[in-house]
Amino acid sequence: MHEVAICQSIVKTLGEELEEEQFQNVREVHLRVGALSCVEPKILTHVFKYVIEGSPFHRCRLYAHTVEVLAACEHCNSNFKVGHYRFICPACNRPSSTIIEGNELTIYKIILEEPSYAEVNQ
Amino acid sequence: MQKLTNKAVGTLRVHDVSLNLLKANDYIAEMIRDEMKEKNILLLNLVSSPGSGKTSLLEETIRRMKGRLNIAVLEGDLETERDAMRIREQGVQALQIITHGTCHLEAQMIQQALPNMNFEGIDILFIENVGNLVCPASYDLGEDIRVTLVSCTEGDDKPKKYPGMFLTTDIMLVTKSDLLPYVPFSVDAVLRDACEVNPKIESFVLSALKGDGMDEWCNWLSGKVKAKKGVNVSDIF
Repeated sequence: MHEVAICQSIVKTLGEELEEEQFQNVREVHLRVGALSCVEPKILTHVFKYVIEGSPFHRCRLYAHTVEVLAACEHCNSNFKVGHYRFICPACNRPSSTIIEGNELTIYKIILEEPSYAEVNQ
Repeated sequence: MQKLTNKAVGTLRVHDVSLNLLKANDYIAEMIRDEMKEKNILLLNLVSSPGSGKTSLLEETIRRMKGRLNIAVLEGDLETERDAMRIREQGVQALQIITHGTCHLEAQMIQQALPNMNFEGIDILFIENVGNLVCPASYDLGEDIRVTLVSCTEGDDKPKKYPGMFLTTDIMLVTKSDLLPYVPFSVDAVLRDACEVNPKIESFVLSALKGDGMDEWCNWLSGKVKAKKGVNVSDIF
């Protein structure tokens, strides 16, 4: 529902991270989207196209990779995958909601194209 | 004239990074948390679907706390100042944040609103979020406690349908309990589902209209204020 706000945040983050002359060379941005982040990766990548239209980042493609939920059990010290939001340790059957993975919403990879011959010699 | 490059056209360079997209929001939320700690004010973030009784709960809570604890309210809505007006009728400070279509409140909106309030003698600041069980879950507003309301008219399946919200919630309030005899709503089922999503969740069943369960809620609230201030509340009362 707030995918537009997240896309604007991506553009803002790229702007802070990169030098201005690099903006138009960004080709790919890869995101890690936790299953608990309340963000729908497909909508995100779709909305992104419209958000970057007319901006220096217009040649960039967004890839969103979903991260499954991983929790830690405080009782038996094991890690377990959480399906269907059931925060119950399969090993000892006790509830646990210490989340190790699944909350993230991070850019983990940016791919830049080196300036081409034509660009450098404009 | 720039120098020629000897790099091949179309060479790609990969940058491995780790940039949190909600970093800015979380940073501001921490600033708000620090400010509220300094002022000794308990900050609560109220979330729920539209119409589950956030404003009614606040009205009744303010009525019952009058003379005991001083409350201020920040109201979030897409449009209109109606909720803030309802709260002001109770004789307390209320400020309306109009989001103009944004489906949630962000920490920055709170930070901008705070200097416009007078916190002299205030014990509790309530933030009434935009009615929405999805997006507000992602945005930390610097609150001490996140309260999620589920009214019994909207169904007992909410915790499983909107797990993101219940996962980040400290307290679940089942509201409109006076209507329980008339609707197919199971308190047991909603509590069980909520605990399955978040084992640490606490809950109350109450009716702001008829007053059932309001004493327990208000006592709990007083206890939290006491814990935050680190003083004995009986000294205040």
